[in-house]
Amino acid sequence: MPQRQSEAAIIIFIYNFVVRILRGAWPILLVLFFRSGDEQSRWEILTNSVVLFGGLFSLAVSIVAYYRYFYHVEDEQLIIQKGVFNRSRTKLPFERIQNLHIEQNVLHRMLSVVSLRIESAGSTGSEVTIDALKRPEAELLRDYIFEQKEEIAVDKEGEATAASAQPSSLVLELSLSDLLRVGVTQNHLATAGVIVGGVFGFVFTVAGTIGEEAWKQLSELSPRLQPDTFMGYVYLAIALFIIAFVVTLLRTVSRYYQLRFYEQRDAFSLHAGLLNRREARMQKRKIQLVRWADNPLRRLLGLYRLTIHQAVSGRVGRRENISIPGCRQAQVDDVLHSSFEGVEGAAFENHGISKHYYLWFWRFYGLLPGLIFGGLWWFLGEPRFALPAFGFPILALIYLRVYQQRFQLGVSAAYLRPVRGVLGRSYDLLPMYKVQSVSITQSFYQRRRQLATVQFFTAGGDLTVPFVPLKLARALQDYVLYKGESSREEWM
Amino acid sequence: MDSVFTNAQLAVEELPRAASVTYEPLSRAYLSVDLLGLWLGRLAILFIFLLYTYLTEDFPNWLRWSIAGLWGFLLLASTLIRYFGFKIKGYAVRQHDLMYRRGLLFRTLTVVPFSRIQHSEVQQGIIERQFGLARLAVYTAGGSQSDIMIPGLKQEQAEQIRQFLSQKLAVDEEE
Repeated sequence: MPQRQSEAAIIIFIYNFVVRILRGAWPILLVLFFRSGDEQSRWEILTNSVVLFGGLFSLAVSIVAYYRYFYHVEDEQLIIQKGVFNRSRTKLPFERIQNLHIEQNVLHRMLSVVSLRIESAGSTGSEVTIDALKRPEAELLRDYIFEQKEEIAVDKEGEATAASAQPSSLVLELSLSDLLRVGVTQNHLATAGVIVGGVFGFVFTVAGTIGEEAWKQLSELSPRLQPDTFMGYVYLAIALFIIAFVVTLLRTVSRYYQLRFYEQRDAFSLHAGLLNRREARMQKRKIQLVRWADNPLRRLLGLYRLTIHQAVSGRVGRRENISIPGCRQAQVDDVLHSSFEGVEGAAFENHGISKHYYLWFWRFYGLLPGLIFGGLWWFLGEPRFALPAFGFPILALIYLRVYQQRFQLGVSAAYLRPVRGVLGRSYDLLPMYKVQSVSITQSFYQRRRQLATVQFFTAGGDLTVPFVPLKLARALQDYVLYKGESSREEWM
Repeated sequence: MDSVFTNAQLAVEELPRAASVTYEPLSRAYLSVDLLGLWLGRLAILFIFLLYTYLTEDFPNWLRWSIAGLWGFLLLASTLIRYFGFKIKGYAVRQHDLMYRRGLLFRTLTVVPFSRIQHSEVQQGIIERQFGLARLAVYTAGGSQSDIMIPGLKQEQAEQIRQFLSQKLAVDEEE
């Protein structure tokens, strides 16, 4: 019985259409905006009519698209018929459906609808989204498809419980105060870096068009921001940091608002978000590796960011990872024990990496920049190059040395557990049988010292262990391959 | 760093070792194919560059020839690296996995268990076809660095191995 989506779909279509156009055309629009001083009337009429026509056109297309979009279920397949100019009929067998997610962005929440995103396997790695459904309908469809998939699996393997019938227990819920703690302890420097990059990019692409005039006006607005003086730099840095802090805080709150992390017998699910509310579901057997990390601030509060990496079946497709900030050690352990068998009792032997790691990399990150800045200082005689000329070598040496000393690879009978980090520590847990391939690489420098770099590739991320003794690298390669080849377990 | 796995030390001694494998070399003809492709490609670009500089007015002679010289130098360096790197390239088919070794400056050995192969392909470029050679591409779920590409195989050989791999895949799935 072919069904239509909720009527809200029309609005959603319009929104998607407009967003797509804006994303492509924003520099042009910006130029138009700034140039509106010159050549008025003819230009204005042209742009106004373009905008108007575009708006009407998208409205018409969206209405027609809505009326021509049908979805229904038949013969263990999901069938979607759609299209205004190109009619298409997509048949998606339940077997090929990897996962279903219910999501909402701001618009959805205002209209009280949800979107259902369907991940499918296959050589094209496609993803189908039904844009607007009422929540009960979406959940009905999702649960039905999961049930059908379990039944298909039953026919093949002989054991299953319907996904929706499994009880779920709440592993973690972020209260508002926890959320704020997470937001405050985020890595604000990263955001600052993104902002700086974005601003520079913006300036490069648009500055030429805006012209000198506008730029002068901007700098006149805030005399404090004169970039020539030292204090100017300081004020700029402070302003930047404050902006970054606020932005990160807002983003974190928006992304993890009312976070609830549930566990069922065979899967985890995560519900979170304020403006965009997402429900992500991940089957336990698809988990490739688990990572938990802190930073100095978070360590004081005993909080980790837990990231569960899974594989999307088949070659193509991005990896859908679940990331949960604000976990305590107990919850991390919970997740580990229920995702991987035998982890609690595992005895880990820790191996470090060679000091040649920092000796080698220091040449590139410490010595080389130091020489470059030193040269600039010497030849140009500008004292401001003195700081980086000394700073780079010293800081690089300290950082690399600490990194090398603190890197530990834990090896148990069935798991790899690397522990890394200078300021923040990150811990990974990787079952050996999940490894897809193992690679040993030796540079000339390493060959002379009997060292090597080992890489373990999984469908959810790679693990690189640099500068270990060749003997250990080979033993690890042999052993991990043996575990993978002799294991009967499905890696996903 | 002397002891490896104290709790699994016995097992390690008995494990098959990747280090004790003898590698199958690639076809001698592949060296010619590789170098031929390299030179054709680079010289074509050089030609276009020189053409461009002669057609442009006032292109400084010294700049033209220094760039050409640099390009030529890089071409020679690549040739030497590929020439000496050829001997290192080799593969081995074991009972449960496929191994591929390559690299002169950065020696790399990648091992892919049969049970982890997503699919495999036999590929041929234009020049390779003339020499009757082909490449075997083995894909995993671990990303492009995890995959193996063995060049310089005789065409029948590549197809033989690919057949072998797909049989192995089928068997492992049924288990």
